Amino acid sequence: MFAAQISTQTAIVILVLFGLAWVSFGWWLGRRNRTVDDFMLAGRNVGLALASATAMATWVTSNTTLVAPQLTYQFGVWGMVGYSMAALGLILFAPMAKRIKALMPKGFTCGDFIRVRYGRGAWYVFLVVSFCYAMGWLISLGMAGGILLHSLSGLDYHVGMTVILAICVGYTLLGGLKAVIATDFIQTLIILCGVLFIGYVCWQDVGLTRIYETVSQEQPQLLNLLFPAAIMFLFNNIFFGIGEIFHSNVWWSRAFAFREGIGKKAYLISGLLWLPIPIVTGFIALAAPALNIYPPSPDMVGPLVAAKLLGSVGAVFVFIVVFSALASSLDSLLAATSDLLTEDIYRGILKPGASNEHLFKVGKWVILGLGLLTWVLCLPRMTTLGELLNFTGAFVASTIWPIVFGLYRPRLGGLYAGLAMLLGTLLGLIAFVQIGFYVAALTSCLVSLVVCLFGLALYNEEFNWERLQRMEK
Amino acid sequence: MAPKSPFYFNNVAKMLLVCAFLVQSPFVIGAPAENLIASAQKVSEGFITLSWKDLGDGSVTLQVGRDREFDQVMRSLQLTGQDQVHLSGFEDGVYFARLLSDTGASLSNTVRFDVEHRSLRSASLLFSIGAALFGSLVVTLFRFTRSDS
Repeated sequence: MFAAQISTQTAIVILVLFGLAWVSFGWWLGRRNRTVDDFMLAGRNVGLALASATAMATWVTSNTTLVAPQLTYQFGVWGMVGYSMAALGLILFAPMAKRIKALMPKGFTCGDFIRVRYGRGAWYVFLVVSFCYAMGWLISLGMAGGILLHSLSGLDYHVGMTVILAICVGYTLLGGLKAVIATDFIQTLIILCGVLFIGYVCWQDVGLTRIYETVSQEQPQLLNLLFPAAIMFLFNNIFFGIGEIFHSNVWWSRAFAFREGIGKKAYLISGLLWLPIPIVTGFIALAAPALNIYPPSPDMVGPLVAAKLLGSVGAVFVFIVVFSALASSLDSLLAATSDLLTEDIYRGILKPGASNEHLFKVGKWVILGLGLLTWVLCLPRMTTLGELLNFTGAFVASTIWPIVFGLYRPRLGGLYAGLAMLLGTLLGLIAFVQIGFYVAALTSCLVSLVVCLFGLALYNEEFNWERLQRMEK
Repeated sequence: MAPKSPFYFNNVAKMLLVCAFLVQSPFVIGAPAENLIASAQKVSEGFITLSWKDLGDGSVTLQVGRDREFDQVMRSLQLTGQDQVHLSGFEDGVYFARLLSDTGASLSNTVRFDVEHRSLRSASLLFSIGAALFGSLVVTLFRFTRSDS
């Protein structure tokens, strides 16, 4: 047991109370879901406040509350700043959300777009990329749940991970996207207040001078602005964040679900609100040596510092904040990945004639299956959260350019879009293994751009945008 | 010559086994056990995980120094209930680490790890490529969005 923790019993009580609250809320919200549109896209009628909150809460995740402190602890100032630059993904996606809604008013998933725009070859590559990323993120969230509970209460990693997964699967299953968005709104309020409060206490109790002096004495490289690995990491993280948002059905499904004219504003507001959060969560990691905290694993540094600062009562508060952050992402990802599998794999490949009523039922089974698969893959705690997430960077960054050109330019063909994603991912993974996790996304994005530019130069046919309006099969 | 008794062969076999154990075992008499392990011997990002085993949940002191004799102790960390620690922010150099008990008695072997950060030139090159790529993306999106509206 570490110095500042809550008791295992308290942790279990909070888990049970939160679990019951979220699952009941999910059931209450989902009781009127009748169609696949209701379940998958919340009736396509989400307003600005809920839209901004869900986008922000989904992006505040284990990444922000556990990995931002980890990367600050490992890469110092650049780790903190680089992480906050992931907000650029939301900001740059804002105009694209408007375009997506205009091009595909009846669209369901990002897979629909790739299939109609680029054809089946590129679509298959995209589905593999997207599924690998979604599983990586799901596993990281499940792991984060276990790590959080273990850090704060000493509860066994496997028990914590299992309970958090079960709760999120429960309410997503009962309420669909409507429940995800509504719980996200409440979770956003908890996260914002919590993170600001912890940052304030850290600044007041430890103080900038003490933090600076201890870090410069014990971890001097963290304050070095010419820290080579951190410099490499900066743009890598930016492209990772942009790739995550541009390609993932989590963000596309929201673009479809938001009311007409809302998407652009909502993504812009959420990006600007999100920007300072990793700075705050990262900053507290720099206080670790001043508080004599030396974590067993780098992804535990955030909760350990926060718990020490706030004492055992405060640890309960930290627990609730991080739990909210985890749940808000886990539910979104479960819902969006289930949509992708149901709509693209099941209806697109396995059963093209499936009715909407049938898909409604299949969607629920897919959420359950995804939850189970995530649980199995989380059992062996394979790596740290930061490394796992950055591994998926090689996949997602390869999709940035094919999606940008695909949305705005009619000339890029499916062959080149597919090759851009395939070669980008492969070379990104090679860079991941040969150099380090902090160059995978950058390499992948660069290779993908080069292939797309070749494609634009060599391919002469023009895509007819009306095919997207009609959602051709 | 009289044949050797089974008892004789039994004793020889036992002695051979003991010798083999002494050669293989890290628990050499007079030296601490090899129970402290570094996650890597060469580190290029300035962070490392040190783990240990068989020391229970009690308190230990981890010392990190610049020489094998620990004349220059850089960090001396009191750790309770942990069996590993992740340390970061090291500058280029050779480092040594060991575990001590509360009374100062040695609890582990001494591990060495070398920190050699990647060259600033290659990092700057990647940074420049990243900046150019990001600039291109922003300009491209801006132009596309403007022509779209």
